[in-house]
Amino acid sequence: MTDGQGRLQLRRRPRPQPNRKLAKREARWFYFFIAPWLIGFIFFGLWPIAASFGLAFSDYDLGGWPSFVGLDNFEKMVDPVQGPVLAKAIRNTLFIALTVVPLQLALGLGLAVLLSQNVRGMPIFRTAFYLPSVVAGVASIVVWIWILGSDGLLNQGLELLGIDGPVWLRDPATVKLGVIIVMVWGGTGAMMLIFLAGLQGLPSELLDAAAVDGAGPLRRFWHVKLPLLTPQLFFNLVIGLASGLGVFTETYVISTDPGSGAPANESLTLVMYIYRQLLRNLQAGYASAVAWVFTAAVALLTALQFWSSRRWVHYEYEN
Amino acid sequence: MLSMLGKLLQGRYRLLLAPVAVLALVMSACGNDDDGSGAGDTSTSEATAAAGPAPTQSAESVSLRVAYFNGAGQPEVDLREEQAAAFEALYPNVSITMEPVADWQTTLIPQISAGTAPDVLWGGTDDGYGQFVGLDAFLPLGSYVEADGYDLSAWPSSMIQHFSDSDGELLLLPTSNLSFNFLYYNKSIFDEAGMDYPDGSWSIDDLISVARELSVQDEQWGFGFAWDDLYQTWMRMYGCEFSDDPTFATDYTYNGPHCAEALAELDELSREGVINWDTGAQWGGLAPGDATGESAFSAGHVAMLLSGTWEAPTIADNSGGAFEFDAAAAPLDDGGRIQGAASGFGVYSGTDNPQWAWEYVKFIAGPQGQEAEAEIGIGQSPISSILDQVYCASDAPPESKCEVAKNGAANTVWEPLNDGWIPGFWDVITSAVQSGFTAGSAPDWQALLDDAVEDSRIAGPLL
Repeated sequence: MTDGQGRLQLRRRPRPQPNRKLAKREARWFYFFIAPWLIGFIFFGLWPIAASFGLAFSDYDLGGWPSFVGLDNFEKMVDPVQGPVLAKAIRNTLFIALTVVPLQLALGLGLAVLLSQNVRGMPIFRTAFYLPSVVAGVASIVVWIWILGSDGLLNQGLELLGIDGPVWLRDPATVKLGVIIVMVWGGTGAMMLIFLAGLQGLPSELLDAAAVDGAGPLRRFWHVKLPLLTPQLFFNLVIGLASGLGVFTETYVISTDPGSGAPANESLTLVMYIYRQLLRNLQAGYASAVAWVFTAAVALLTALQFWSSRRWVHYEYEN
Repeated sequence: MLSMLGKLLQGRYRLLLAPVAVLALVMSACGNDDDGSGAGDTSTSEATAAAGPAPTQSAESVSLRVAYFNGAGQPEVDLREEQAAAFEALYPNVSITMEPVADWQTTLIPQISAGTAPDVLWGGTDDGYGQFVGLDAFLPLGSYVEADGYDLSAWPSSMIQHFSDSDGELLLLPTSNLSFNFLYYNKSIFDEAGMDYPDGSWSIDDLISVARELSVQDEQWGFGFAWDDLYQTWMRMYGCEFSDDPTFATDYTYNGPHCAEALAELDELSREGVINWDTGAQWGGLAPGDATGESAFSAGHVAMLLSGTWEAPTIADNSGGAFEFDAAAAPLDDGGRIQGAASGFGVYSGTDNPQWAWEYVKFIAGPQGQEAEAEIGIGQSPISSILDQVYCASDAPPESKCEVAKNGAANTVWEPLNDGWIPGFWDVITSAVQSGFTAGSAPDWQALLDDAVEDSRIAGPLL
């Protein structure tokens, strides 16, 4: 088509008009389907979070109404009595998390590499190694209580080597090691699965090129596979550290006096400390204050990990 | 206002408001559907007690939830279920749901805070009774007692006083006065060693020397605690006082005379592997299978076990007649006392059925209910006639239960009722003492307790 001056004029196609009725109906269904989650989140997530923030500045014993106490709860964290106990809970938590996460990462990666081989019956091995991650936590911990008992499976094995094993879960010197063993066993499978998915998605052209250039299996792993797996490594690190710092179930179940942090507060972790203040000592305000400081610390740590990831996490198609 | 609401409902907010409206409907459906008096309305409840119809005249169907601390295992569960069935048979319109609870405070406190606790609540002096009172968990029973003309004279007045609030209103009907002075002993172990059984004449030194003699490293333990916190009873046996006042304390005194001495002796026994308990695990405190307490004693690994009367039916069941056992009163030094626990049942302040809950409290905590407990030997009735005529006369083991229970009743001391007792005493002393018992070498117990008392004063001020 031309205009009056003979110039070609492209006829603009009319834009398809959005079907407003359909859009409205879709929106309605959208809200309808997300409503259960949204309501659940507002009442059981958002509201308690907001309430606990308010309680952090209050004195509240779970009965009656909270009374505003300003920063008293935060000062209490460093008083001569609560300060050392809280510090011990922090030390225990850090020791457990900073030992468990590297072990889970290393074992998860190692197992993923082994399970990515083309060997007969591999699905069975993969299922077997992932199984601990889907077994109910308390059930597997109970089995571990038996394995780590004074005459349990582990000590019987050590005895064969001439080693007199400790009473893992009841000795202040070894209780945290026992918790670490339980956590590594239960948490490695999930990390392994992420690494395995990453390994299977690696571009074969890069690995082939490295092989053509004469790189052996070790060099290919170290210089090609591992850098390409850093996104999975980063994901596992962030999730693993956050859940490691929040350890509670393992330390609660292994104790003969659940929630006490026995023996001698050596299994007392931060979340258990919060639990103890809230439900045993009825100090909901103080427990909320500790919980908020803990949350802020984990958020900061996660932010640091994201910030540092720019230096060591490599995405395949990034510029 | 209404037109604004109408606009909102017609407009685009309708979709957002719809789920909220649905939730509100659901919540109102789940909520209180009675006359609108609301849970926790004590004044209404009291008025009902005074003026309402007697429950026997009402055919309205009622559901009651009853929570109790289950310390005696299956025999107690069976008893409570039988009691519930008997009440239901008496009042067919009432249906009872029994809720045995093992972790009492952690389970019940959130329910009380949320207003969803069971209608009838157990309470015990060593299970946070003071905290429960602080939370107004129990309905004052004065008006109900008065309306029924209920006779409390059978109970020791000291106990009624202990379970009354500051206005003198009864909160719990006491059912049991348990003393942790039952020194169970395995007759076979004593017979094999050719030693005399324990009796009320023993001193603590006798107990210690016999326990040492009957111990075989990692095979047999001369002495054991049913649960590790009984180190506190051990301290009491020496004459250690935990606070300046046994009811409403104003200061912690567990660093006073005999306290450090008791712990030092216990520490020595623990390090020698004479005591079967978790806290001494690293010194050989655990029986095969890491068993402690009743299970180690019932398996025949422990010569003497400190516990209470409720342990006997379980020991009889679990030992399966492999050995004979009896009990003697735990020895006391001059001025020594026995840690005990008094308990009872009360009405939850937030119940919708206070009158029926009170009826049930009377049913299980009154003389008839206490007789049932006494017959199977899981409770020491505070009513002396029941103790004499039912508990002492019953066939329930152990044989010497009567004299042990009476000795206990005469020497028992309960925990103070202060709100700050748990964070001040329990939290502090537990970790301090555990660190002492598990330290590489025996600590200076006096210094350790002095420090702990200072910490207690800050963590749980009693004034």
